[in-house]
Amino acid sequence: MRITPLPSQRKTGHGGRRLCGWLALLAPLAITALLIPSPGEAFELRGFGDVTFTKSDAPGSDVPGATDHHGSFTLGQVDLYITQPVSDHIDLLAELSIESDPSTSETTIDVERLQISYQAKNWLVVRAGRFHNILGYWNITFHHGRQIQTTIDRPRMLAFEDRGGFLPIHLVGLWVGGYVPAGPMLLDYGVMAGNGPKITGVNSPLGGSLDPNNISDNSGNKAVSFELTLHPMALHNAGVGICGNFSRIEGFDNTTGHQVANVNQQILCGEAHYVTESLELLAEYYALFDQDKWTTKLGHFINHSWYAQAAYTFAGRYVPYVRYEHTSVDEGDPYMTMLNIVDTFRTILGFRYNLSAASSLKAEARFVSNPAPSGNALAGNGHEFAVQWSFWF
Amino acid sequence: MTQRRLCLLMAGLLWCVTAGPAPPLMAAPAERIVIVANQLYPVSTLTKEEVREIYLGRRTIEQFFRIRPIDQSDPAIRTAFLRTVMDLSKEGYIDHWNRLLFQQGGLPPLLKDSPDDVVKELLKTDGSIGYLWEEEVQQQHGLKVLLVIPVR
Repeated sequence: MRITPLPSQRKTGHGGRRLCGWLALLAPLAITALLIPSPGEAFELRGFGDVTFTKSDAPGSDVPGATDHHGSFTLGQVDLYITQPVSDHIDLLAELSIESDPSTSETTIDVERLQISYQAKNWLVVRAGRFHNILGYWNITFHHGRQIQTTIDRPRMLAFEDRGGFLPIHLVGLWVGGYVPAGPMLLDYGVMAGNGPKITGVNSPLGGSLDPNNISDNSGNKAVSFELTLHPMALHNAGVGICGNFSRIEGFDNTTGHQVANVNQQILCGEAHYVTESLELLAEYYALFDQDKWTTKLGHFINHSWYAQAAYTFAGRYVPYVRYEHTSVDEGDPYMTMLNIVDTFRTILGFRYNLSAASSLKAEARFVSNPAPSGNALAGNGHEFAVQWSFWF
Repeated sequence: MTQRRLCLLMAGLLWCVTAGPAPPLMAAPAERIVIVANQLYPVSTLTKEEVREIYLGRRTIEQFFRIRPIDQSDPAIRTAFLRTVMDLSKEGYIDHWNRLLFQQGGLPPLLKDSPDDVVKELLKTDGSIGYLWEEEVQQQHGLKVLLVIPVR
């Protein structure tokens, strides 16, 4: 399948090499799984899909049709996942995404998550593989399944790396976590360590993009993430948590491939959620502390990003929702500059109709404001309208 | 005379309509759900909150045993269990497990068709845990009773 490239889409590239690399990563885990005695249960393959129509005149929109004003249909990811206990204490989980690469318009297969886990205790689960980083609520709850998220898209700040995101959404390495009872509360904790990201394509017209370093790490400094979430025992669908990520990120020029930046980054974040069968309240906050270690200025920069979302389900089917997002960028921050991220306000009003538990229709109006400095191509205000049919199979 | 008989007949009919069934001689015992497990299950009691954590997939290991929760497809006991212990509807419970498996993998509760099937599974599988009506448990040997919960 070939689709004409769109100028608004960002460069990610490496389709064939990425697949080969993933096969190299997949092979040892697959062999490990085969060596483990299996209870003889069959793998069950399930997945998500969606079709979305978007019309946008918002500057810097990452959705197709953003710059041509006539709207476009987009075939979303075909997201497949497999989960399987392979012994009393060992589980496998794989999530594979079949999608059109925005840069080449060729269909690629990405291993979004691949993890093998050993459950020693309730409070000690050790996992290895590729994960969604334990930052906030959204990233470890909805993954690539658009049917299970209320809205059409993720919050802009939580966009995937290959869609212009600026947070390290994926991480390859080790993850230790579990649940610890703490009186009337249940503590959910996690610590991850793995390859830190790098930025490729710096100085390209659309800005660079974060690369999670799936195959190898370009530096010796590993990224470390943590999360601590408290759930009241009497209110299992509520939680309040803190999280963080510490890494060193190098940037590489689009044409020469030479290193042009080095940033020490600390991300501190927090989230609160309350989700019942009818009410959904979500809020997340991220602070990015960047220190320029490349130029002689050695500057310190602080960026803020947050969102709040509310939805209510009437009669099990009708779901009006609203979300507000804001990203504030510290001017001159080399990290945000390399990724071409600017100040953004987004207000989203939407309505979802659940055709069934496995399929939904969603319609959204988005009001976008980018108060970037004049001359920046992303500056300005605009609107987006989107309709999506999502499903789960 | 005929008028008097007619009045008596109407009064009798009215009494039949309004009086309803005779009151029971003694109140029926409240229904209770019993949380039962395989004899080798490594603890002897559980709280309602702990049972909820098990059926939410947050408590998966008991000492060294992998916990294997069992559900029943019989709507009467399943609805009572979900309402009393889980505070969830059947749809909400199924949705929770669909999401959980997608989020972190794991072992979903095994769905059994009848109390007999639940008992067979409990007797056969170490670490298995299930729920039955109290009177169904009284007929069984070889099961460990962990908790008795009045249905609300």
